[in-house]
Amino acid sequence: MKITFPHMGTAYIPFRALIAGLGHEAITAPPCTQRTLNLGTRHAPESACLPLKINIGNYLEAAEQGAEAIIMAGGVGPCRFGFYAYVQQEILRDIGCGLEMIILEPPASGWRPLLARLKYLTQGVNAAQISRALRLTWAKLVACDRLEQLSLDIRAYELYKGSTTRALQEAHRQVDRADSVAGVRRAVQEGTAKLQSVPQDRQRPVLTMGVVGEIYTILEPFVNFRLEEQLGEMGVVVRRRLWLSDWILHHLILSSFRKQREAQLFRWAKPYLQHFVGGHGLESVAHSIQLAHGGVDGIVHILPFTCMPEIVAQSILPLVSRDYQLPILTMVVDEHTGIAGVRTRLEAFVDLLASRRAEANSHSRGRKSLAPAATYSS
Amino acid sequence: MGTIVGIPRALAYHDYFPLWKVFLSSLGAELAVSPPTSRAIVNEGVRLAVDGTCLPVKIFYGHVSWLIQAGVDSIFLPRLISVAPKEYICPKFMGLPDMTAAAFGSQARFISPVVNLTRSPGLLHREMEGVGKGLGYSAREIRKAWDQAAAAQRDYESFLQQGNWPAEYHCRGATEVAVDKPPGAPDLRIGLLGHNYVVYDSFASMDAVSRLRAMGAQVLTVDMLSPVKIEAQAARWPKRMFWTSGRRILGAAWEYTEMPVDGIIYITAFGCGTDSLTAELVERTVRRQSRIPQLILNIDEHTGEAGVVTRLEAFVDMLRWRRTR
Repeated sequence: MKITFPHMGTAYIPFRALIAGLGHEAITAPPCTQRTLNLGTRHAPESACLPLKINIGNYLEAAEQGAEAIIMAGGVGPCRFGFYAYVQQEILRDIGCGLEMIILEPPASGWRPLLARLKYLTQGVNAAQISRALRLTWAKLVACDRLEQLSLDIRAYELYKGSTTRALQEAHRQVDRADSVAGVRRAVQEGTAKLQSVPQDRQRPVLTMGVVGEIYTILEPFVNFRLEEQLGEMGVVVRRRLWLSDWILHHLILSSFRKQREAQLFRWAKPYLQHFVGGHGLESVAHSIQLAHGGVDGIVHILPFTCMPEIVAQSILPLVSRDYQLPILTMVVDEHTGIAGVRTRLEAFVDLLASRRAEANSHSRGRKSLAPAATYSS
Repeated sequence: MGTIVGIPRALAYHDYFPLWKVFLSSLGAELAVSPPTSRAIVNEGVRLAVDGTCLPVKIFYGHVSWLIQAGVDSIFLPRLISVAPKEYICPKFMGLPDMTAAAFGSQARFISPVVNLTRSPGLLHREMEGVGKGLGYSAREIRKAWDQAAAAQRDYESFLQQGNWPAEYHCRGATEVAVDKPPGAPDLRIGLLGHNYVVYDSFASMDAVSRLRAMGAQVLTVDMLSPVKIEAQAARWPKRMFWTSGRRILGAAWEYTEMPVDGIIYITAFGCGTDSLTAELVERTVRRQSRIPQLILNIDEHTGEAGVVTRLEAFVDMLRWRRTR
């Protein structure tokens, strides 16, 4: 079967390894572009959140390349993502696009449908092959995250603009090409070496900024306008705590054990948010506080327009900002967001953080003497 | 006790007010309910909420602000996680007490019992006991108040099911019913869909209900259908709808397609996340299952009355014209 899947940053690297490993042909949709978005917005409900629309665009572009089926995750709420696959299925059906939707529901909604779909996907491959495919996929997932994490520490210091991004892309390509776990390990070693050998000026003063928010908008460079690259190139070391491997592990595989991990988040978020609110709303609040304790200069909170869990977080973050004297920039993205507007706001925010830092240094007596924190909002 | 508990006339109030009112008042609390949504209340809510918030939450903020200015001692604001197994209301309901506290700070004391019936219904009773004890009552008094409240709620729900409106519930027993009755017998039947806090709020729905009735239509709501039928219809969906209101709306939409209904109107508030997908599923389902015309009214704080009236009139005219063909 020719199977495709929606894009989300570098997730295509592990996803296509999995599909190929299960004996299918993986059809990777072209990277998200304005055309993808246009296709999506034409067919998706107007007030749906942005990722749903871009997914539709991915499916249609993959269909043009011969895809026959889609693998998509389900969910048990309360966030809208849990209904994405079904709404998308209905839309594709009405368009008359013959793509078959294979929906993998998390085990929390019952093991039986999940096992049935997995059985359907793994027809004709033996247990050893499945196990090998899963191990390769996981290795690639973790490899992509680790390389990206390293790039966040290096980019702000690079001497030549774009050199870190090029090294990262090359490293990701190598991970993509690897066909064994050992190959992935080699790719990570070589990629790490390549990233570390990017010419840098480690004496340069840099700012550190946290990125929190909804996972798709954090991971997909097309919708966040290459946020992390832009910040890095402005001399900002980016810190974030939300990674794809985490999300896969906790949302799709171990959702039944999510409670344990949540307990930790609860402890951090408790003074501000006392309940799980779906999606990554709780994470956005908890991570902001953790980052504040870690000593970042500011935080960017990114979310798709009308995202329910993140609106809860957005309503609460001004308090965190006030209490921790930490500027937080909220970025709401939708199909109308333009790069110039985003860039201007990021530049203004970085300038603000730099001047706060300069002021703090001139007082050189720690955080108490900082100017009052500002919260920017769109 | 002399303590005044404020209840915002917004969001879950429209579903549960008999339960809350009877429970709190039979415990002896003095209640203050904010007035029906007005332009001033909406403006206040818009000022207080973050931009991307949906209209119903903005309206809710406006009501809380009204109560605070009226000087109530505390505000009843339960955290509604789930009112049925494996279902949620909406993410914002789960974080509502925190969002409200962030907006109003220490201006008010909030009474926020957690309602989570996903796993154990027994927890609800414990939470209610907590609320009662917080007001200084004994377990026995609380149990009695709760029983009375539950009876009032059942009574309200069966009243609505008989084809009545919440506004009529308040005037029950009065000789003169203060609710606008349509002139003459209605000749059209319109099935209404939407969250109760939109449909029953005359601002959030731009008075669509009384306008339709004035145009000579009989208007049905989800609450007027039998819960058993709604449940059976909703179960036709391959995936369990995990939003309670969404599940009822989907079930009602299927039910309308099998009833003598001339048209279906879905009233949704701008920025509502659950409706963005529920309305899409309803629209496609109804179109496939039947030839019943549909209208989706999306209302925000800028919606003008004239635009809504024009669209309702055009829709009703079209329904009548269809019948004469």
